[in-house]
Amino acid sequence: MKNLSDDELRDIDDLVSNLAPDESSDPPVEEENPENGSNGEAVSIETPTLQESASIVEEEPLNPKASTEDLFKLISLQNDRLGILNKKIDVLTRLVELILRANLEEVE
Amino acid sequence: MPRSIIWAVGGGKGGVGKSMFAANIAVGLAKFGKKVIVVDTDLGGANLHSYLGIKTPKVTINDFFLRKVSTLDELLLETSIDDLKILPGSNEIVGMANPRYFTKLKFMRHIQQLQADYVLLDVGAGTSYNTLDLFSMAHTGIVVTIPEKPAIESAYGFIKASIYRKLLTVFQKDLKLHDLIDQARNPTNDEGIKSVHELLLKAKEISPESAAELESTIDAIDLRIVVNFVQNSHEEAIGPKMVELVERYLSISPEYIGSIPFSGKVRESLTKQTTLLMADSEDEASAALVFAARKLTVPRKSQVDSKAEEIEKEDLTEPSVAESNSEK
Repeated sequence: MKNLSDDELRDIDDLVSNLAPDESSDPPVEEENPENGSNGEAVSIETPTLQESASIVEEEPLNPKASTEDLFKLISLQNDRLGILNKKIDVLTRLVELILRANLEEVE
Repeated sequence: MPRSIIWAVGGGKGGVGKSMFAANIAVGLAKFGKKVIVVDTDLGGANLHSYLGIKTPKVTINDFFLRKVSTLDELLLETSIDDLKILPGSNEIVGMANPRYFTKLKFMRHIQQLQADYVLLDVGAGTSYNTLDLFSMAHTGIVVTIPEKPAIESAYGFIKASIYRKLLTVFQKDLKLHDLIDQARNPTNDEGIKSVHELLLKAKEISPESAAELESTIDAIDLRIVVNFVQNSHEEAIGPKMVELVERYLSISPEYIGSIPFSGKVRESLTKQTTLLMADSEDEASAALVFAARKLTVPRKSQVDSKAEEIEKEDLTEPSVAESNSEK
């Protein structure tokens, strides 16, 4: 677009660069150390926490129909929980991978 | 009765779901018990009425510009939803092909007199002066985009063009500042200005008073961003990044309203000449639209009264340099 500078266009390129993620790449996890896990040390994996959207809580009520308000909060919270559940599944999958690899090394 | 709050929905590129968003948000607000009027100012692409079950409107916005009616109230059509009315647009551009600035201002004054809590303008695609002026005259501008590079470029370009258009209009009588703004909007300007922040610094060198006024005009701009048709977490991340981009170069802080998930039911609902919220309120996209409507109703700045004053006071003379340029 002609009203944009080269810097702006470059930043837009950067912005969209992650739109098509490389599916072959693994999600980022803690760097694997073969000595960890195999010798029984605890593997530290951060568990995401549920944070209630401040914008929902702090906003003034739109109308006195409490049921509609509650529905919005519920939808939002459920969406947040679903996102966190997905992250937890990812983390557990990686944990199982680490344990299996550690076991395999012990067998070898 | 208090003045209605005017929201304008734009975004530069066509096909990103501006009308879909406007129609569904209007339905959402009406369901909250608000009095809502949607106005289709999408010239050449007026289709908002289709979302609200109206096949061929008998009256359109053109009737106002052709002076067949004296008030916009006479053109409002009822919809099947309580508290939601529509002022249909027209694909015939007679009378509104290129309305002068004061005609648009007069139109906005009439819009403000409509008896509603919220008036939503669907300004359509492109960066014509009509689109930019109507967008920037509203209390809140909502930019709808999708997670595709051309749409993001268009949306950003639209935001940039609307800000500069507004500044040129407001400072048309301050010749030095007007000239500086006009240069700054050109990405290869002689002054080497690369952002609104740098424009403000240059303006301070000319006149600290004018620069302060310029800064407060920029601060008063209320912009919201919505990313539509989102399908994964990578696409969800686009909205906050767009906010950062606008902050970096344009010195305003838009609010990211959220993302609307892609839903095949949107097309289905349009085929049935209705909105997604009416067709399937359980759909994930419906929930996101309801949430967006809710979030949009929270005022960010105490702009409504000041904006109303601005429209009342605004000079009816044409913006000289800005308007003299040919429409893109």
